[in-house]
Amino acid sequence: MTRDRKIEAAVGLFVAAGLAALLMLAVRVGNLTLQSDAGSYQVTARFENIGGLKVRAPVSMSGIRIGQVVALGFDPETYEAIATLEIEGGYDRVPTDSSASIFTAGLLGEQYISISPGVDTEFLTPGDEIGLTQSAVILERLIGQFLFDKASAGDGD
Amino acid sequence: MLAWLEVVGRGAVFLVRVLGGLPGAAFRGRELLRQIGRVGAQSMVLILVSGAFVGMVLGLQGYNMLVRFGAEESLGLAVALALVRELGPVVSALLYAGRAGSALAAEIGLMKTTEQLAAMGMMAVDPLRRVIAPRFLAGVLSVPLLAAMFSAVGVLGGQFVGVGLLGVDDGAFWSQMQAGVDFRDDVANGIVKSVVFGVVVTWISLFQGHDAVPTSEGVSRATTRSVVWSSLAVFGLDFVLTSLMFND
Amino acid sequence: MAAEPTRAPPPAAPEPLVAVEGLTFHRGPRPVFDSLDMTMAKGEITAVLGPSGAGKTTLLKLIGGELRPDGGRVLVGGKDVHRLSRSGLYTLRKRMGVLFQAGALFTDLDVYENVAFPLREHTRLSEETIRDVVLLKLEAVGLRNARGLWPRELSGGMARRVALARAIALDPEIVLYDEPLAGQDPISAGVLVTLIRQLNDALGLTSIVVTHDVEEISAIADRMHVLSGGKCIATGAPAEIRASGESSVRQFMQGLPDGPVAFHFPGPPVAEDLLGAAAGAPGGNPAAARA
Repeated sequence: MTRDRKIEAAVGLFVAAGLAALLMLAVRVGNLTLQSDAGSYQVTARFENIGGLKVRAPVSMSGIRIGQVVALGFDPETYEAIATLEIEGGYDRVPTDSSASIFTAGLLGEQYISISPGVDTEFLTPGDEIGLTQSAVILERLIGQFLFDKASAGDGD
Repeated sequence: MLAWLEVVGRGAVFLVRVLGGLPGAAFRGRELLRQIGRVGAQSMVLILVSGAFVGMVLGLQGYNMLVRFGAEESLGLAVALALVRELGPVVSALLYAGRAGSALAAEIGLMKTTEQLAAMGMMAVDPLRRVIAPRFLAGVLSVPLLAAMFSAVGVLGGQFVGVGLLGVDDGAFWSQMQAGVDFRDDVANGIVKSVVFGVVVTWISLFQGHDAVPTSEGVSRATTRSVVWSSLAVFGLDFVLTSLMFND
Repeated sequence: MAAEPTRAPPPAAPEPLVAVEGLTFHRGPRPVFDSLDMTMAKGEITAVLGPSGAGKTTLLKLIGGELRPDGGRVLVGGKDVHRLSRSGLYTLRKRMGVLFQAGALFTDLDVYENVAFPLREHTRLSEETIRDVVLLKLEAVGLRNARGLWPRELSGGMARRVALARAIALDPEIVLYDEPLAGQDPISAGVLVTLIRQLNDALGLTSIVVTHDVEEISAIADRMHVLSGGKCIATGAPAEIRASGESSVRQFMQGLPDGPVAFHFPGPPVAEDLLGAAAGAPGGNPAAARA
């Protein structure tokens, strides 16, 4: 019977180690939060162009992560992109006249939404829309613009 | 060609009959435990050591690559993604095929050669249900756990080299990893991959043993074939699964 | 277990428990059985004799329903084995015990668990009852004290005796023996032969023994069938078979090297091979003795 006990111990160790590894991958590596933040709320923002913004991109204010993008949609009437942002419950004092901009982290990094606080004394509530937005900066377009300007400037000489 | 199709057909029938035996196998707690001990627990040390070394190599190579762009902060992300998406499931499935799959093929082939399977059938016990199904289930349950261990230890190995030896910032190592690795897209897909590999490798190994010519030469050929076919299946399926999962 | 009284030798025409009717079976293009007929009577030990390659083991597999015949049928207790559903076949198999050539003990179970295996699979007996039955069966084959050993620790003869205990664990009606004496020394063969007879009588079994060990089995068989060329060429009590004047039966019973079963592998005569320039297969084809 000691043989059985040994097997049981080995299997127990194996399963425990496997589950621990799974847990580590989920929480420590994959940053899975098991329960969704109870106080979190969603607001929307319309952009002319979201560039390379993806679902789950961070939403930050003054560089601090305060939430994430949970959905991206398209409005067929206005031809605008609609981003749904989930703001964590702790950040419930975002002024209604804040603006949302899509920035890129570093030159080649991923895109995120940065919220610049306004001055209003009223705060965003669930379902609100952020009115002031600034679309993603499309590098190619900037370069194209730059070259075009240069070219026209050259013509003028 | 025809012979090959026959093998595929027999393999499919075999799988269906084994799947039919799974509910019964799930209730044979003791036998299942014994088989998990054999196919899973005995592969554990191999997986842990291999995972640690692979992670360390990834740390080293990744650092050398990233430091050219001044992006060595992303080392944690690079190591974790490579492991969780690809190397964890694939390498652990290959190691499992070599360590446990070949042993399963040899064991079943030997049981066939010594007429143990026939004897069981003549005792009105279906060997596919009694012998094969618990081993199959044990394999399918074990491989994802092995793959998770491989990835987890690999990340720690990468951290040891990157943070401990090469001086990457520990906070950046983890925070970049956490920001870039998504649970559903990366971790869960990796687990799905390893479940598929577990099914396929265990199936191929058990089938090769069961289909072996009942001589010592036949068993040794079945053992070799189980590893060859398992490895090919893992690589082929990895391509298919990767293109299905990660092509957005 | 030995509660049942020892049976008197069965009457001249006992009822057949197993009947093989017009059985035809091919292995590839080669016919193994060609319209084979034979019966095995209830309560008797029937020996099926034949040279190697005569398909004796195949016959057992056909009776047990492990192989399907190309023609004809096998009746066990009046039921056509090959027309049963899988569950019907398994029900029938619980009434049969099979002793495989080398015992076929489960290598990952010890002696005790091997004998307990059919009980655990097919009954809901308590652990104490299983223990009693296993020990009694092992006692019947003289290996009660070997219950803690592993199959790899047993000699060939002991392994067969354990397998026999396992085959009778569920108190079957029929026990099939596949070459039980092959490769055994005289003492071990004698032990097995005696056991087969004792168990047959004590448990009221019907035994079917396929073998080529003519001498040993003649001592215990009630009836013998001699197979050759896919047919049953002789049937009768051992003494009758022994007295048979038929040449192929005599060759087999007396172990003559040449006769209807040729010593020489078929082909051109030796003179042609040695003298004829272009005769014979390339590389030479040595005559193979069909032992």
